[in-house]
Amino acid sequence: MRSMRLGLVLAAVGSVLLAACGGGSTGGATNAADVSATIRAANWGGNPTENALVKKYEADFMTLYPKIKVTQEEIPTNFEDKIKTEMSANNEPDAMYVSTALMNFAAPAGRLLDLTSLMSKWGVSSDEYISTLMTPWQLNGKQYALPKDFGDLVLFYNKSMFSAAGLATPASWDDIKADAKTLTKGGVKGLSLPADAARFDAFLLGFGGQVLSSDKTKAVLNSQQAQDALSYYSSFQLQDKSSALPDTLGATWPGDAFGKQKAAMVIEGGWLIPYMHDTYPSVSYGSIQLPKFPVKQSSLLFTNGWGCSAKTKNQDACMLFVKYMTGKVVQQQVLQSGFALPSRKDLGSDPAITANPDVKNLFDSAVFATAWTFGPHESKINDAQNAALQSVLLGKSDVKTALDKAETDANAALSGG
Amino acid sequence: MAISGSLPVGSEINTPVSIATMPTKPRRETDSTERVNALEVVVRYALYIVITLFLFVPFVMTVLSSFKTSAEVIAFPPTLLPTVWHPENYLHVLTQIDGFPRMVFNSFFITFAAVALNLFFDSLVGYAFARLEFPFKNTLFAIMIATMVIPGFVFIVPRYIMLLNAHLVNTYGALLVLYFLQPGYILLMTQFFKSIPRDLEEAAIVDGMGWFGIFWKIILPLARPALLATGILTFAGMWNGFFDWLIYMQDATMFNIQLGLTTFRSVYQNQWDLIMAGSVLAILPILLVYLVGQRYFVRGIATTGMK
Amino acid sequence: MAVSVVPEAPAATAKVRRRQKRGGMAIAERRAGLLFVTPYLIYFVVLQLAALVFAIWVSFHHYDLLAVDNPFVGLRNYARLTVNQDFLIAMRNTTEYAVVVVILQTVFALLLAVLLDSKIKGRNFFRSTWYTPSIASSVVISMVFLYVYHPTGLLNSILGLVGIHTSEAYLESTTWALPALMFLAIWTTAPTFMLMFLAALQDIPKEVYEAAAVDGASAVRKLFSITIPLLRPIIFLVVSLGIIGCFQVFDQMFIMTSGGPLKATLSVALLIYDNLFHDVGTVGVACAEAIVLGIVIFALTLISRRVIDTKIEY
Repeated sequence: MRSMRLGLVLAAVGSVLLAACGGGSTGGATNAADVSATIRAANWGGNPTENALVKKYEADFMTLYPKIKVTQEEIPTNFEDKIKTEMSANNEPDAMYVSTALMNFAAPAGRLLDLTSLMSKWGVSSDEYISTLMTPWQLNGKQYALPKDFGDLVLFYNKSMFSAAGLATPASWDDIKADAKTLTKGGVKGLSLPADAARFDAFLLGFGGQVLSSDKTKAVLNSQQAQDALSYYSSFQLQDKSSALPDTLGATWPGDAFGKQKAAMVIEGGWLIPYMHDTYPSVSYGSIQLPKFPVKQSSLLFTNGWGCSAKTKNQDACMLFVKYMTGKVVQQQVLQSGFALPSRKDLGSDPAITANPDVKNLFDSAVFATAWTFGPHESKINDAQNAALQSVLLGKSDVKTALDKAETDANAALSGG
Repeated sequence: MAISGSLPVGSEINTPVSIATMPTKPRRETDSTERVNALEVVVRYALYIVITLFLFVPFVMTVLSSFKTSAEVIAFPPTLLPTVWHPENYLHVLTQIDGFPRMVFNSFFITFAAVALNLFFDSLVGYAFARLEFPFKNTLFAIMIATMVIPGFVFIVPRYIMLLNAHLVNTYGALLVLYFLQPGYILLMTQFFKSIPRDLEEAAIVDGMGWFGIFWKIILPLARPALLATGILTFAGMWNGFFDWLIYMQDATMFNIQLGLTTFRSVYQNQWDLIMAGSVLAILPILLVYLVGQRYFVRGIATTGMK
Repeated sequence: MAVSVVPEAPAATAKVRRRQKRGGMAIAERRAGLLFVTPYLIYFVVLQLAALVFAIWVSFHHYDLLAVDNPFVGLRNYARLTVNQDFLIAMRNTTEYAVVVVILQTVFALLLAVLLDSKIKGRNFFRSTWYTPSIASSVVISMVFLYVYHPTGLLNSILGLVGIHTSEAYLESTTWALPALMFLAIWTTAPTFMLMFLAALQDIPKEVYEAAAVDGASAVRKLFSITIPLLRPIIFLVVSLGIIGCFQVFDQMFIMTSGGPLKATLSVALLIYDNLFHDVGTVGVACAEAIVLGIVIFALTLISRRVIDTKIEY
């Protein structure tokens, strides 16, 4: 406390510390219609569609709860940097998007509101949400945010390239490996696997490996399983020559190589669908869930939630807002706008999911997928993983040496700081 | 004394020693030299054109890209001309960003205000450092350099806390306080003032003119090229800035154009066509200011005040 | 004064001469000087002093922006830098980058300015077009250079024309990624410094060149014996701003390579940013890194001042 205060005093040059702002207090309201407040709500605004949707839902919310006023604060880029800066000045918004990165630094510091008791007060049950999507926001048995949507990984394949080569839809990793070889011709590769832990870790988990030990205090990146996973992941590019890094294919990311038809298959998420629709509408493609790896089926989850500041004076209003923004009404509209996958179980039977096989593959993969998040030091842990992937895929190092180094570096980040 | 300051302009008696000792060669116009000159002109133009290609092509590509579809912008290998021209990209930028006109106003307001403030304060402080003798001058100048060498990231949080306490967050005031002067351009003005001959000031002192009068009436008019450089660079810097706007502004109505444009940039759905059109729109004012400004980079200003 | 970087330290004799000449003006001059620098003084005290003291103070703590308790750790953050592989790599990369870029961009900017200052038809056209790299969008520049450096991109095509056939992927090569970014930096910043040189060239009196012309000096000779000596204050300006900018380089790495491949383009500023915002409990380390980097930059600025901005007596 002292150190923080000294910092504030130094920086404040004698002026008075301003408390986080907000509207009226809610006191002990037990009826939602009685809750009155003005709350600031920050969303990541780096996408015009999403930003406009948030604005609309906030307006709907204010119509539903006329006594609560919501001020939208869109943060177009560097979302976590800005929230962290605001938090260190005690000026963060009352409600905000909670990315896994934000969760990782804010929850352990006690800066996110524990929603557990508010959820029961306002009738929100954990069971409404897909359970794998609830875990990223849990710490020491408390719930710090609710998932608003998610993305996960499936395998997308180029239909015309497959039919031109007389290939059937792949059903196993053996199929994928063989098909990738067949489809590699001239400047076109069968697959584009990047040097990115956000793709590789699906393999790592599927081979039975882990990034962190179960108590999350140590990196276990050079296990036999991890080595097997990386050997397999790199074999496409190094042995089969059936995969190439996106840059080598004249693309900025694998989805771009897929759109440019330089790679016949990629492992990507739901974000690829609108991208293909907007940028490469003529490419016909399909998808399959990632087939079972040697040990189990796996995929990675990338999710965002809504949560509240621990300092908010309007806890009830914030909870009602979070409930609404992650509720069925909003998520159904989000789903129908084709923008994101819903985090709610009750939307699994929605026609927008069942009628579209790609969307259904993505939604159904959530059950066996794992949230891609590694705690407060994840940035350095991922740097270490990516360095291992790069050094192997660039032919600078063998699998074991690369993973040994990754484990050492990740452990340094975990213990150091 | 600074080298150029010690040079009495317009007199040939005190020309730098390097020139004075140069072997004098009688100049003779002959046919051979004219032929050499013609070749020289060709070589010279070739050089200018190569440099132009080298430096100008990406800008041309930006403009051409702004008329392409998103897919064509990132096509590999790139196309030069759009296969189909899409001027409507510009319309989409102007209509798709909520409150774009307000962002344009914000950008212009802060940019012009910052340019005006910097022209005055950077030159005033720069003049003091270049010419006046006062206590702690060395120390202060050293401090100014020393604060420039620390990467600005580490100042973000303390500055935010300070501006918040001053109730300036989410107001124009935050940016004006941060940018009413810039040490880098004070350094620029300092270095420029050193090349203005001292004789003029000495004469003015004899005439009984005050220091501010000397600065305002004599020195500033002579420093026009430097002011122009400071103005153009401040304009470009302020116009292109977006990180400070991101940190210090809360409402979208307080954003500038650059921050508005980042809306088109999400992780995977880059709307390249709109990014390009938006970039061209965002560059235009800087280009215009530069096009007008560069015409005033003409020699002779320094000697107009001479008697 | 050992650390003096004051723009000019007149020789004692010259000072005395001026004092004698001006007599009672000295007090008025001092007063005016202090008054004129007051805006900077305010700027420094309000915006820099507190932040600087804060950064120094934080560098002695295990510090997190959101933590309640930030223990004092003495010099540990500094001591660790000497064995921190990332910091050492970043420092080496940044130094290499800065040395090459500062020298080449200064030379190139001066060359551009001199070419634009000469009388040539279409001068306004060249003046306008040559400045554009400084204002083109960073996204566009990234796209263009991704193509330039691509295995079958522009650079390799040109090399192919002159008989060098290679399919090097420059941005993915641990050897070439850093030089590729250096080139990009020179290309974008040289026009900015060109502007400063161009402004400075306007201050060189025509008469000096005319005198040289009478003496029959060649263009190159004029450049080295008149232009460059007279531009020394501005060369120092460009070099010192270049040193400050290059040692704090961030954008290009952040946009083009994220510090890769294999940390070949990791810069100190990138490391500071990560420690500041993307890790927990490493703000003290970030501040220590920033201060060490600052000291290096400051020292180099002083040296460059000694070498370049010295006064010359005739």
